[in-house]
Amino acid sequence: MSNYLPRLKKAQELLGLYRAEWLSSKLFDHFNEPGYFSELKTNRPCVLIGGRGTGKTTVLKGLSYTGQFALNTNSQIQDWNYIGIYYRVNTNRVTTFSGNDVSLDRWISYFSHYINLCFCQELVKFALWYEQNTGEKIEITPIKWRRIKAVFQLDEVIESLEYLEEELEILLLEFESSINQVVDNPPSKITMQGAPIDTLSEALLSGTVLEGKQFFFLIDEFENFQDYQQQVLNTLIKHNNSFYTFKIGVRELGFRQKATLNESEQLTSPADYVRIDLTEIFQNSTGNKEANKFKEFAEAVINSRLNDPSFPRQQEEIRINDLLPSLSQLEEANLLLKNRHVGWLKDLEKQIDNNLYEKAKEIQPGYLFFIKYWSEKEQSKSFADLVEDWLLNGKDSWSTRLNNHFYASLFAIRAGKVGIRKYYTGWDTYLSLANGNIRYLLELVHAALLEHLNLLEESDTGNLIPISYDVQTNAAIQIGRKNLTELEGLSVEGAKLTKLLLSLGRVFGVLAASPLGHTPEANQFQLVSDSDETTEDTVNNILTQAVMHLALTRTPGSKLTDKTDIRDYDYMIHPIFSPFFVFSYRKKRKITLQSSSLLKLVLKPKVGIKEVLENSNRTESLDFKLPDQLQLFGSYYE
Amino acid sequence: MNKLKNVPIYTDTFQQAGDFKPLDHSIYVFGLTDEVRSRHIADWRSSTVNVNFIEISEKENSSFIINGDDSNEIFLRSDQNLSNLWKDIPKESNVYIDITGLSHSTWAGVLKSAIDNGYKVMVVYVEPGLYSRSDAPLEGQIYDLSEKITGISPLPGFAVLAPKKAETMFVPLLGFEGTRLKYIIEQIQPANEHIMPIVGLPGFKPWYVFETLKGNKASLVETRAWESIRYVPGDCPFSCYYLLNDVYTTYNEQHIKIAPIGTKPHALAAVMFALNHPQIEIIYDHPVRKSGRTDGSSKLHVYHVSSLVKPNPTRTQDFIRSLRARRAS
Repeated sequence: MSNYLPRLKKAQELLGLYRAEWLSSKLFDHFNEPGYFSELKTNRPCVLIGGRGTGKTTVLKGLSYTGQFALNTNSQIQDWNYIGIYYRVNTNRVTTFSGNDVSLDRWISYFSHYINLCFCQELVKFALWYEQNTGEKIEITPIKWRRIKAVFQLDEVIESLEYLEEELEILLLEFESSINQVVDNPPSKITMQGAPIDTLSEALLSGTVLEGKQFFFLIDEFENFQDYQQQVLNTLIKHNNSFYTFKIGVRELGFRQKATLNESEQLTSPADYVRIDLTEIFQNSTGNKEANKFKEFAEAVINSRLNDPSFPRQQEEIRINDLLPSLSQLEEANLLLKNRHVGWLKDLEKQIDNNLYEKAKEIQPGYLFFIKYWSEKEQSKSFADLVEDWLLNGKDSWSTRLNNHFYASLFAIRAGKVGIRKYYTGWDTYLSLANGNIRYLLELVHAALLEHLNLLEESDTGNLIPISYDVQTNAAIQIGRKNLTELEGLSVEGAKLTKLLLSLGRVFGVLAASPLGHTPEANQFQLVSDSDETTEDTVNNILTQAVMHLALTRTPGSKLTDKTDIRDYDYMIHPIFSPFFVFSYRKKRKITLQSSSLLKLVLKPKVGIKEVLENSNRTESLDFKLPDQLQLFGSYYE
Repeated sequence: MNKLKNVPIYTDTFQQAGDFKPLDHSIYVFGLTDEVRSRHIADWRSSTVNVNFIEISEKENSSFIINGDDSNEIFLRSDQNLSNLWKDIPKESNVYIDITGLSHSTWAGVLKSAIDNGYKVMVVYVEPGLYSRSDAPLEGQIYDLSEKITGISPLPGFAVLAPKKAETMFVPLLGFEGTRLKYIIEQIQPANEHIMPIVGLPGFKPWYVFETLKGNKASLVETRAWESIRYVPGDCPFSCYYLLNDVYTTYNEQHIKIAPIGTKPHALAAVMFALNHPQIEIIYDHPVRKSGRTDGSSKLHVYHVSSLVKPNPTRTQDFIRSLRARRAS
């Protein structure tokens, strides 16, 4: 019999490394190819768009030559079709190229030169790596060396890659020194945009052992470039050639500039690049097929960590599905009620005849709650009347009501009470909460497993004990809270996003807790303009930032005409926050928000929340006691 | 900590700002803010003998004017502009740079220029009486970075574009404002095991060390960097410098990035260290000054920076020459 404890502990450790940046050497041990990976391997420019934690860095690093070397242990380096050069945009470097001590034109040429040097340095670094790892020499002809000398305006003849590497380092240092003195010692020997990259990549690829291959420049965190810098890169992308192409990783809405340096020339998809939008591919809102793509990928990612190869293979496989059991809606209602229905039955005994009472006792507590809940809506009929109706006409006669309202009613069972008010359990629920974001999913499973292991203590575990519903739910709440508190440090505008989320979360929490007589499961909103241009701009900016940093998700609205208009989208709080605020993660119905109200939610939360709730006919709802986990932010709502 | 006892601490400390007076025939560079502690100059200005006061008014991150003269804007990315500060000043003069009321960008540039022009430089710093409470936000309070910082960019004149080593060792010099640390970590994404935070101990006040740890708790726990915390006195740039030197020597295979987001004396250590080791990188988020940030004034320190940092206007060129020489051999 296998002992699951050490295996689960190892899994928990691996799941904890949920940032590609942290995984370092282990990154490729547990690399799983997402479905869209093959699209990235084509010889065309691609732009990979996805939020923080959707796996862009992992994928781009997987495409890099060091990644391919670690992943493709079965194939020879010489057989590769492409060579991925990974480049992460470093904010502290690229912000050097700004300031009003120099004109924009000059910044453009300095920055272009900087990119030339950086990319060429990476090309040379690869070439040396190749020679070292294959024992093959990349023979560059003398004429091409002369071209390289000319394009970099070097004083001496270069004839080896090692020399070139040193020269490039010196050029970069000289350039750094000039940039630090840019006012009185501006850089000289500026190279033409893209020219050194063209010359060097051709020299390396044409007529050498690398003939027929292509370089992929894998640019991560493209959003860190300033606007004019994106235009410089766009120009390179537009004019890429057979020797190299670009694979760009960028956050949603972070690809701000589509123009090249020639303002009238735009990068367009699919003419100039393949657009791979991870939101469209992975979010479960767009249909079951897409949801399954994420599920398939996520299961591979999680299960590979649950079954680390360092444990003997003959042991029974641990599957995430078995570790995270789910509750049906009825089971959940029964669990949430904690025998409250016994009192209702007692009252009922006095009101209906004995035969019916005996049958009523057989009704599942969750359904009994629903009948009681419904009786509060139907003022002409009492609870006893409706129980009779259920018993005499059968459960099927209630099926429409149950289908439309039973799930929403779960949020009312423990509204205002301490402890868990709604369960968030099961692998499918975790998938929905993560909403296509692999990091969120790893965080959820990691938190649940950590607490589970704490509870299991140091005992031999011959059988796989599933993670309890309480532990799963509390882990989901904890991860919601973790990501909420992280928001303020993600961007300079983080505080506004935190406030927006706290306010909207409270609004949707209150709406969920008092569903009776209202649209059930209202958890999205659409925006209606009602303010002056400045306010509208502010609101647009907040929404853009909120989507970019995953406070909100957006889906094309029903009146979709042009994807650029912020109003053509329906917005929803990212489902990862739903357990924290206690509302439904299922994308269902929407309310309308005026832009002035949205701004109030950020700037004057108390007033804003009251106003939005009143518009949804919840007047006294603010008296609702905050869920336990929101108590920390109590002063925000008072 | 023991090793620190064997190295010199070139500091004069005065219990009150009023106890200090600059030496006769010296230069005193300063900036005024609305903080009480930047007003100490007025108390003794009239009683000084032949002290040349240069008042700096900052224009923005990359320039300033002196003594209210709008016609002469000095750019920080210009050695020639900065050298104008010392025009007609004899080389044997002592130069005081009072960093209390100046932003890091400005005093770092002025300090570099004064040292490279061969002056004996002393840095003056007045501790605040108290910081305003909100600088140490409690859990659950929301901290608005947009009101506090302008974003990450190099100190003008200190940009590093050609790091020698691929791996990074990140050394944040911690202050109270944990969100700033969070933001910088998010931007530069160091590996968890390559973060070595430095905390001021003792702090300006006995309880500051706890506020520092509390304010930064989230990031310290998330990255487990708390396991690597090192402590040096919050008011001593020399102790901090020596510690940075230890880190630099121990991790000589790594590219060192220092984030001076804590006390000004620690930031001074970072800049002194960068002047002596131009390959290290300073990561800074450029806070926006707000009125009433601190209250009152406490001790005044005079740091004899020239004892540790020598003029070296050709530091990068020397490095390049050494590379070329290595290649030639």
